[in-house]
Amino acid sequence: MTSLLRVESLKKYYPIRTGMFSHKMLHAIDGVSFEIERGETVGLVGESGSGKSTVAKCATMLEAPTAGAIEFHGSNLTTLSFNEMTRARSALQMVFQDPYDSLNPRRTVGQTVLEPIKIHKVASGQVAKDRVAELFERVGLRPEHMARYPHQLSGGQQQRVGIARALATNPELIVLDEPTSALDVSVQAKLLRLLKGLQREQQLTYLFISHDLSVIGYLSDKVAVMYLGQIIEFGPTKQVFSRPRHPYTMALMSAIPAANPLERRERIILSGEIPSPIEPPNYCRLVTRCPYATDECRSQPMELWEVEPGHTVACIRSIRGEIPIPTFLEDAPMVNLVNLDTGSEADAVADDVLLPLDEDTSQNE
Amino acid sequence: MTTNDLQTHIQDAEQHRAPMLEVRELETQFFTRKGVARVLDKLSFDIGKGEIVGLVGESGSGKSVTGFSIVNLIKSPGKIVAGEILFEGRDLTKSTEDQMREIRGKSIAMIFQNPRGSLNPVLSVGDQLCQVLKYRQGMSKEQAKRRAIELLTLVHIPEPERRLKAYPHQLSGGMAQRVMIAMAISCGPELLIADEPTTGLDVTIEYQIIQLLKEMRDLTGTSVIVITHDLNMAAEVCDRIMVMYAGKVVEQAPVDQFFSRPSHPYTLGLLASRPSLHGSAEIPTIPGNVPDLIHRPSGCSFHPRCRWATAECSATEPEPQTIGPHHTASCHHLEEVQRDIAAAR
Amino acid sequence: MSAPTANTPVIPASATDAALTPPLRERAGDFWFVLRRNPTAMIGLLMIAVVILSAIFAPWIAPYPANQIDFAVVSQPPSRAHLFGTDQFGQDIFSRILFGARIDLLIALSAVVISLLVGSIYGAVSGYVGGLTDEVAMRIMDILQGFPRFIFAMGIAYALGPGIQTVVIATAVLNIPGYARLMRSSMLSAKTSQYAMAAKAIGANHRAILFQHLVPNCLIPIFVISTMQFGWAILEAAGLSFIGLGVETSRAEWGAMIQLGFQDFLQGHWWMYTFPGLAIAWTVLGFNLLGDGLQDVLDPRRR
Repeated sequence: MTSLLRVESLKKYYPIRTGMFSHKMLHAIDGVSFEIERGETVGLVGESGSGKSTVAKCATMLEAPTAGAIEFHGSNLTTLSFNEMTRARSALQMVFQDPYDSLNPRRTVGQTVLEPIKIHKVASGQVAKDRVAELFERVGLRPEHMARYPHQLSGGQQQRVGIARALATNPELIVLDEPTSALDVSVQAKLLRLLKGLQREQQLTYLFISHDLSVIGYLSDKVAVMYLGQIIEFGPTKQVFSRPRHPYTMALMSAIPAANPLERRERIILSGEIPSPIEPPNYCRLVTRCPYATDECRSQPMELWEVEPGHTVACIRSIRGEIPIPTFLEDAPMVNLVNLDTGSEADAVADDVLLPLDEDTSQNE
Repeated sequence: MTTNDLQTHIQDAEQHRAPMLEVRELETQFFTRKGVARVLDKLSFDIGKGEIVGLVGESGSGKSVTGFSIVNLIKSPGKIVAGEILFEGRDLTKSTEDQMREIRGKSIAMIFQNPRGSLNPVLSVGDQLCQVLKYRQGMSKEQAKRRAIELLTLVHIPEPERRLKAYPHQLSGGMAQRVMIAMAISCGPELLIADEPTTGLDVTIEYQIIQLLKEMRDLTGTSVIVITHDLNMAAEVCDRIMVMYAGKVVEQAPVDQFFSRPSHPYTLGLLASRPSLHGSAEIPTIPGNVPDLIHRPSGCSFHPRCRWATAECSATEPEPQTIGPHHTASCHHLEEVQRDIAAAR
Repeated sequence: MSAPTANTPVIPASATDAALTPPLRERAGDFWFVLRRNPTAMIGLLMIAVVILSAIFAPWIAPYPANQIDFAVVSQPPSRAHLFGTDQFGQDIFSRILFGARIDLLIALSAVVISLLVGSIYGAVSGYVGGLTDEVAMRIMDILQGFPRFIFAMGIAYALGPGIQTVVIATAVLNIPGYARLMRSSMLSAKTSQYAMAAKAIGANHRAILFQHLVPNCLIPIFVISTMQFGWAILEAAGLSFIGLGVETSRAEWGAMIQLGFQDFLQGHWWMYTFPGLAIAWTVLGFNLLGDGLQDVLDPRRR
């Protein structure tokens, strides 16, 4: 299989002024490489400040990277002209984190979804309008919603509009930057199902960015764990989550509150917080917090090693087997609720269509 | 396990004999342009001494409004229209603003979701802590400074002397939340209301804050109400969980009971909506959306979204049914629900 | 698009009749609903309505023509025949105030429109492009604002010679930096919003991002300020006329009327300058109240 998107040694630095004439470099991402194959979902997980959102912006060329290459469909996006890039965008779309802020408040959501159709000349006139209505139905909204302004919709509905806009040009790859982090769990569940269903129907490829490991676990085939601007572990999601090899991944996994509170697990605890990304060292960046760090960790540059085919990790001690590797098995819920589903999947996609149109979304909370 | 359970039950029983906060039929309403939103609908619950209780719900459930109602900080167009909030024998809804200010400073403390936003950006951490200590406890400048350092050490802030001089923007989110907790416990409150204390913090930091809250309870015996949308987080920190839906507690149970025998259909839906870390199994979802609080559904507020709903549910509002020790759920069809859970297994 | 998949519902033709925009009537209704509940805005609106109506209907309401000189009734104090008295030429002050509303509103309107267009496009582009361009553009505005406002207007008026156009141009130039700055600061925050990024992500070009997405979202504060600016423009225009650099005193214009009246200050003919002054104050206050109220009304999130 050929990869649809290949990111190679991507770097993004921002200058930070430290004095009148001096500045330092903030390394938002520092040498990130990964590939996404057609039809799969790659999850990018990390805490705030890990640079995962910057990867999303650079991969879609919303921000120009400082260095590195982004190959999409075999062409390097960093070398394209503005017009060439505009054409490329029809196949490369993005869904944003804040459903309200990502919609122009002075436009109806129908106009918002119509815009990419017009820009990329997918359709025009009544055909274009029909296409908007069809997209609305596909993401579980009614055509009547088209004439509404973003503030008249609930958070879940707003994000459905965001997804409809991304689907408008029949893209191949959609970058989703924390699309459900602003939503309630029950609304999140509906959107995750919608995204999964759409992927199956339209053979979409996703780059899914989240700080929430369970969301990544649900949706992605492969996962990249980021820490301070670098990928420190990459591999098939099931493998990485059940037997993490990097101390940071272990800590992330063990910090998740258990679904079953009676099964308290061993914790791998990181002391302190993420250090500043301003001019970080070139050796392993976890040394200040890692319980297994030795002087050796400070003496050599960070590097990704393959532990199993397709599973790479950036920890020299883990490679040598000097760190105990915990196992995180399926956390069996105490009550099996999966089979208790209240309706079919088709219902779930469309269910808040049943909402009254006059739903008041501005609760006083 | 049994001895442990027994112990917690005995403790619970003792706590329940002497609740330190009793909320009775509380009704808080918002008078909006479109009509009156009944955000809290005859809400009743107790908080025992030294207990950590999770108030769990989604947006629009009224969980934050409950927190603000307890400390009487509901702003216009909202208003407490009925009910009692009994705290140490006095009804807070009838207290004057001066009395409330006294209570808010000394007996009930609150921490919020955005800790950096709750700190004054132009004063250093030390100045703010010392001000509280001087004003509330009548300490001298020297005493206050010593106590401030003690408090920061208590909440595990490294190099407390140096941190005293730091300004809020120089602190990370986790660090700022620790300062807020230090400030909240500085006057030895009997009740701490934590409104989404870890939302917006990273998982590794969230875990540290959860541990800190538990530690503070063990150390000072403060009761804590944790308001959160995150069931996993509540499971980790709370002794007891109350699930709110449309301004009512629909189910409450000690945490082990809650997860081993969830009973209310809404609780089941909430538990099931969480994506599983390893599973790609489909996530069951709750159909529909939170109700419009201006035009509330008749009977049980959850009935339009409930697969077990019958004519009875839309006609009469269910009373809390006892399921186990301190475990109640408000539903007409608890037996059918349990039967279906057993069948699905 | 590719062949519709099995799950894609077929849209009946009637479904797409659902428009992309709500009917205009509904939007106007919303606006009016919120405006009506805002007492500040309503009082302001009423005060301005009085001024506008008197400007429109001056020929029918006014008891005398604006420039009817009658030496039989020179410098009369207010009376039943002359409600606000008469000036040195026996012209009826009440009638002249009604007619004056026409000139003053016209001057203010032209000045505001010019400064709004020039200032906001200047500020929008400056803020959007950013960097060195922005730096240079804003320093130019600094220089313009560096002069005391009125002295600057006097300079322009002196160079162009008295007349209505002079007043319009001087008042407009004076207000350009304010609009430019306001637009630029709104632009700087709008630029970082996710909807701007979303517009870029779907392939919109700079012109579309700037004028279709960002500028419409920056216009609210501009409109609010313009409403208030309307009042101040009247005041500034009147000021220029008062010191003799604006409209000629032969015309019925409020500033010019005050100047004329002020010549008789020592004779104690207070009505000659007081009534035009009150007219100015009334109008400025009306526009300010409306501007204050609009601030609440025009914010879509507060509806």
